[in-house]
Formats: sequence, structure tokens, C-alpha cells
Amino acid sequence: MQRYIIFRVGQSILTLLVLTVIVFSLARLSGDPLDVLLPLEATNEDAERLRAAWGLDRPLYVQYFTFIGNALTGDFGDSLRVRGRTAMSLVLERLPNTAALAGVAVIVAIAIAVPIGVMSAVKKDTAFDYIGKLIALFGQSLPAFWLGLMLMWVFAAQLGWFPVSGNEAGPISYILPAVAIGWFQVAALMRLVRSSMLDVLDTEYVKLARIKGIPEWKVVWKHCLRNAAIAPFTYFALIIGSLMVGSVSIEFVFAWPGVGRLAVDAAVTKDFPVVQAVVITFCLVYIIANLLVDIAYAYVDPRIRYN
Amino acid sequence: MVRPTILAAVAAALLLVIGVACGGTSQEQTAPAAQSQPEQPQTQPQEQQQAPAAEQATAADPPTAVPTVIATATPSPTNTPTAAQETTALGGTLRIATIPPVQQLTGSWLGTTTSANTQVRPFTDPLVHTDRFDGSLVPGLATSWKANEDGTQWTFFLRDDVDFHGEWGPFTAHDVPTSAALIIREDAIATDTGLFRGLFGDTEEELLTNIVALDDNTVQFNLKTPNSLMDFFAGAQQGNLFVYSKNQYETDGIEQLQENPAGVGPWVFESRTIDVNVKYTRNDDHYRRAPFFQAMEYVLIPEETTRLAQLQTSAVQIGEVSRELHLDAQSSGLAVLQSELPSIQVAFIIGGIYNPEEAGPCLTEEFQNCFYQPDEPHLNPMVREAINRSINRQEINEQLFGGIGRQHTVWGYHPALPGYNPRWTEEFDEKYGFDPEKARQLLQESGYEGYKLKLLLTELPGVPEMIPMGEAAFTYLSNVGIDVETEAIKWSDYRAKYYRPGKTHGTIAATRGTYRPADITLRFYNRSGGAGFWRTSVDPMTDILYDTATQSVDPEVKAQALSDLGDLKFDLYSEVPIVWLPAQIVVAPAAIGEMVWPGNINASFTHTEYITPAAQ
Repeated sequence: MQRYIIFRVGQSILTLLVLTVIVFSLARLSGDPLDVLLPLEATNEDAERLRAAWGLDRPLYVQYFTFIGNALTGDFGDSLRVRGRTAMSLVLERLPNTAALAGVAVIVAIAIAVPIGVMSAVKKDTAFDYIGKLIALFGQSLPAFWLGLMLMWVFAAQLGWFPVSGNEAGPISYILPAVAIGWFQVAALMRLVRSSMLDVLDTEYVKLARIKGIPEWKVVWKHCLRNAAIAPFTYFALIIGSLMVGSVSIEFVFAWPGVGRLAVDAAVTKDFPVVQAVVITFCLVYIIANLLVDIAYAYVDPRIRYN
Repeated sequence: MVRPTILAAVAAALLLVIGVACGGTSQEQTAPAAQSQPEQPQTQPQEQQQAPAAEQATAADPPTAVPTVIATATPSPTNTPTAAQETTALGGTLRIATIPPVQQLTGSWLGTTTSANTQVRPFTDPLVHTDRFDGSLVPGLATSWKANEDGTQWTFFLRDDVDFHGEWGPFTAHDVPTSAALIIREDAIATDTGLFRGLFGDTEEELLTNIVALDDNTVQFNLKTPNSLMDFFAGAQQGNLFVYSKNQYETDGIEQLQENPAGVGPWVFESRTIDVNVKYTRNDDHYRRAPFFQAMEYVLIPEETTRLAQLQTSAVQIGEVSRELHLDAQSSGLAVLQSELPSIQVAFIIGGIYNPEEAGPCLTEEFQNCFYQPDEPHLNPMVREAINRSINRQEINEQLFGGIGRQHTVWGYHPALPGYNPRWTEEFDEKYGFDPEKARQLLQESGYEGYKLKLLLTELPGVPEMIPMGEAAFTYLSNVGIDVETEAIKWSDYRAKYYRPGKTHGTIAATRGTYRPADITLRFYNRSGGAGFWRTSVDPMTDILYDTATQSVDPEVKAQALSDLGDLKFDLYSEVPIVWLPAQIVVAPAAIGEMVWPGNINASFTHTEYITPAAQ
């Protein structure tokens, strides 16, 4: 087990290192931040002065090793767009908002997907099952940003039940963006729950439970669901990554002050330090989540080992 | 036993994350509470106190007055407030949904004029104010000003009754050199950084020898080269010279000045949360106009349909919404207001006609040697006329701008600005009118029939119609036989690839500029040296006339030079002017009574202190 964990940790570090090269290179290839940030009237001399002040005039490999060296200490440099602030301070300021939104989105996904998934399995090939499949179809085919705009239009602008945007109204402001982000996961999670439930419903111990006269609701919701939940649980690691990525468009639409929106603004203005800090943080979250699930999986199932 | 444990642990961790995150909203950087000022007589210009209720400008409204942008040759008494007048805040919090500025800042030296005018202008003032009705330069912190005969020395006479917010003491002339020095800092990114370095020196030490406080209420600017627009640069229209407290800078340092700046504006900076909002409170004691609202908040929302929804739900009272959503806004009971003056000029720029950097100053009979390529089709005025003749301006105005555009005859010039020649208006249809047949004929006569032209499809903030305008131009130009190649390109890439390295020759691209004295625009587009990236000059007299206009403080000489330069541009078809557009903003009529702003300041809206709540 120890060797497996060491191997997976090493693999994760290597992945992260490769990612730093990719992120650094792509950020530079996307253009010069001075072409976005400088006023139209700025002269070439102004551009050169700032390039020197920001260290952008140094050779790329020097910039890269400086970036890596500083990144190891959590220092991604100063934001070029929000002057006077470090890139990491902006990310850390936003991370709780994105994590909270992702958390609520997970709850929304579970709250919708699990009951529908369970009932679709129990009532297989009935109208309920077909409706469940339809929901899954919509969930996977509707773009999150479009769904977000529609939810905003109906429930905020027309009905006035929820705030239009931002997070300043408290818990109620989480509902619409969380539904918009979580809806895609509803589809995937529901299908997973349904297929797992179908497997479990057909097992001997479930038949035994029924023979013993245990009420059907108890058989389904207690005995079957508990066993069927293992597969969806492992899916959570992927969900976390998807929710982080999904937050980019939804945070933009709902003016949510999270990391996703920070990433968009930074990318548009070619704010290298912030782009690098955001992407590395996202990747780190994703890698750690996958690592933990892999380790947990290996712990739960001793058959899983890397040679 | 393992599975429930893991599930429980995950669930607990999830709840913990949510709990922490829900309670962990972004920290606001809060300014120290402003000292409540003792009740003092409100000193306010009588003229502005009694300003007539503004009528909502319509597309047909002509500019209301000629802005005064020429230096006053001698000091003259201005509308210094004399009467003590009391003002009372009527409204609660004025909430405005805005596009997040490219640079979120409290220091005007850290971003473009547009960013500064949006965020800095509420809490601090420039020396020279801009009239909200006619856009003219009027006294602000300076009650009057004068220039010497050759425009190398400007003296500003300052108010003696203004205090900085908080505990930073009175505003004096000593605050001005300190504020100006911020603009030339090594890390400055202001619109005027290059200009101020050129006029006053590259270092703070040098600048402080050229901008000096003569006494507490007089500051003198000694310029390295003559400039007739120093009062303009001391204002907010183009400039970055907002006043900061020398006392705060020296006591707290630059970081604190950026985080919690004390100003002298009608609003007191309260706090900002990056990408969320900027908050201000009312300065009850402002010398010009204490706001009609108790507080103001900019709500920063990137998606415009979200801004519109905020307006529709009354979460905000004012919002920046693009023209394509105006009908939706109006159908839901919102009103679209326009600035008093035109705000934006839109044109196609025929780029890079000559290259003075390789050929030296283009002021001699060897002007032809300055051109990039001797056989460049755009050097031929007949080709440029053909391009102009091929464009259907009326169709562009009606289809893309909803008919709100006003005639634009010469890039950089407006009928209400100095140097405009009425002949251009009279002759425009005759010389520039849509005539594809004539365009084809001109191309044939010039020998450039079917020549290759690169049309760059790019967009600048404020005019999303630039891309469809370019697409329309593709049709118009192709229709007269020009072999048009298009390239969709982001503005930043256009800048990097074409105009910053001076390689705009052979291209045409839509652009937009602001309403400002013509020489400011010409400096950027037409002059051969300095910031003349586009280099669209078509005559060797361009630089001579430009220098005469910029350096003369005699209004007549200046206007004549500008007029002569405009004649050259008009007669030689140096650009493809399209329309003048007003600034527009969407408001909730149920909440907003009057909102008047000139539109000639680089920002979507200004003069927020004058916005009144709707009568209940």
C-alpha cells in the first residue's frame, strides 16, 4: 500500500510539473499583456518601460525558472490587472466562493439525481423511467451558461424569487447558479445511480430481504441504495473537477466572485500571474481529489494495485 | 464498516467546506471612516445650482454649446462660489451596474483614463472640471488659470476651501506636484504617462522641478515644449491628473494610498471588493455639489443580460447595457438616456500610409520617400475616395446604430470643436456620398481596379458594432471591385501585429475615438512622429500644421492651423469617417429623476453627484 501511495504521489507531482510548462507556455503564446492593458496612446517607450518593470523582457527560460521557484513558495507574482495585489491572494480570496458554489451544486445534484435514479431503477421501463431518461438527456445537452440565463430570466427577472446575480444576498443567492452548474451532473449521476440500483435490485440478499417481509421502501432506500452508492461515490472526484470547470461560465453569467470568473478576466487581459495561479490551483485540486479517491479505492478494494 | 465511515467523512468534509465557504465571502478593503465634517455653509457655483432640468437628449439634439478648450490667455475670475447654499441628500444608495473596468484601481496612474474616470473620478477631482451640459472646461479645484505667450508655462490658481476626506487636512498647491509625479512612476500605466514624461521629465526629481507650488493656492507647470492643452490635461476628459493627498502619500506610503485613498471629490471612497463592487458615501461638504444620494455603489457585472436583469428587478437603478438590448430594456419600462454631446466617433482608418521612421521627417518635397511602398494603392487619393464612395453610411447608421449616429465628416473633428470648417458639412454628400459607380470609375482611372486590400475585423470596448460594420464594409468594397481579404483579429493582437510595430500599410480597420480637441486625436492618428502609430498623413504639411496647432495658445492661430489640417484630411480622403455616437445608459425611471452628463469624458457616464432620485 505504501509503495502504491508513493507511486501515485510521484505521478501527481510529475503531472503538475508538466502542467506548469504547458500553462506557462500557453500564457505566453496568447499574446502580450501590454497590448491589452496599455492605453491606446501609449508609446513603444512606455511599453518597453513596463515590460522591464514587470520582468517580461527577460528570456523565457529565465522567466519560467523564476516562476517555478516562486510558485514552490506559493508566490505567483503580482497581478498585472489588479495592481497592488498578488495573484495568489486574489485566488485565495475567491476560492471559498467557488468551493461553496460547487458544494451546493453537489448537494443539488445529489438531491435531484439520487431519488430520480433510484425510482427509475425501481420503476424500470415505466413512464417514470422514461421521464428520468428525458431529464438525463436534457441535463447533458443543455449548455450550463444557457441554462443559467434561462433560470435567471424566469426565476429572478420574471418571478423575482431569487436575486439576479452576486452572492451578497446570502444562501438564497446560491440556488440558481448551483442548479445551473449541478444540472449537468444530475444527468450523469442519475444514470449511475440507476444502473447501480438495477444491479443491486437483482441480487440474492435483496430477494432475501423481501422474502423476510421487510417493507419495500426499506429494502430500496436502505439496503439497496447503500450498496448502490459506491460507484456514484467514486464519481465525486470527477464531479469536483467538472464543477470547477463548469463554474467558469456560470460565475461569469451570475457575476459570482469566484475563481472561474477570475480566470476569465485574467485570460482576457492576459494577466499571466493570475492565469497561472488559477490554472495551477484548479489542477492541484483536481489532482489531489483524484489521488485521494485512488488511494481510498485501493484501501477499500485490495485487488487494486499498480505493478 | 469502511464504506459508511468514508461516506460520513466525505459528507462531513463537504459540509465543512460549504460552511466555511458560505461564511467566507471576500474581505472588503475598507477605508477608514471619513471624519464627519462640521456643518459648514455649502459653497456651490450658483450657475450649476440653478442649472435647468435636463431634457433627455434625443438623437436629433445638436451639441448645445461650443466647449471651451482653449487656454485662457490671462487669469480671469471665474464662477467661484460665493453663496452659502445648503444641500440635502434625498436618495438612499445609488446602485449602478457597470462593466468591470479593465483595470480595477483607485490610483489613476494605474490604468487608462476610462478606468480612472469610472472609479477615481467620484472620490477625487482634477484641477479643471467639465461642464455637464456643454462639456466645456470649467473651474474645479482651480478657480482660474493662465498660460504664458509661448505655452511653456501654465499657472493654476486654486481654491482655498477644500479639505481631503478623512483626516488628511486641507488641499493645497503642494498636493498637485505629488499627484503629477504619480503619473510618471516606473509602474505607471496611465494614458498620460508618456505625455507627462515628455513635458515634465522622466524622473520624479525632474518633474518636481518643473511643477512647483508657488504658494498654497498657486501651482505652476513649466513645460519642456509648448503645449496649448495643459488645461485639458489638467482635467478629466483625457487626463489622469487627479488630486491625491501629499500628506497621505508621505505618511502612509504608496500601498495605502492605493488601498484607501483620500480624495477631494463629491463621494468618499468607502471600500472595494475586486470584481464585485466599489462603494462610496456622500461627501456632505463638497465645494461643487454634494450628491443627491447618501451612497453610491458600482456593481461590477460582466454579462450584459445580467446587468439588464438587475435593472428589471430594480436591484440597480442605472446600468450599462449595449444598444442591441435597448429595445428589451425599453419594453420593460426602462429608459435609455443619451449624453449631451457626442461621445464616440467611428471611422475606418486607412493605415500606414507613410513610414517616417525609415525615411526621416516627412516635411520636405521628398515626402514621397516616406511612403512604405511607392506603389502602395492607398497613397493615391483617388483610391481613398473610391473607398469612401463605396461605403453606405446611412445604411450602417440605420441598421447597426439604430439611426442615432450623427454626420461625421473628418476624423478627429466635430462641428462644436475648434478648427471645424463648415465647408466639410456642406460638401460632404458631394465628395463622400455613397456612389458605387463613381467608386468603380475612380479605381479604373487610378489603375488600381481590383487591387488587394486587407480588411481587419476588430472591436473596441464601447462599440460592439465594429465587427458587423467591418463585415458590411467587406460587401461594399467587394461590390466596387476591390479584392478584399478579411482577417478577424482581437484588438490586442491587431495592436501587437500591426499598429505598434508600424505595419498598418495596406490595411483598413474600423476604429473609434472620443470627443476631444482635434489635435489630441491627430497626435495619435495623423502625426508622423511620437505616438503616430497609424500614420495616415497624406500631406507633408501635416506635421507642421499639427505642431502649430498644438503649440499655439492663441485660439485663432490654433483654430486656423487645425482647420487647414482638416482641409487636407477632408480633400485628400485621409480616412473613412462614419458617424458620431452619443454615450447611452439605461435607467429605471421610477428611481432616477435627472441624469445629465456631457459624454465627452472617457467613461460611459460621469457627473454622478448630479443624479437626482425620482420624485416620490
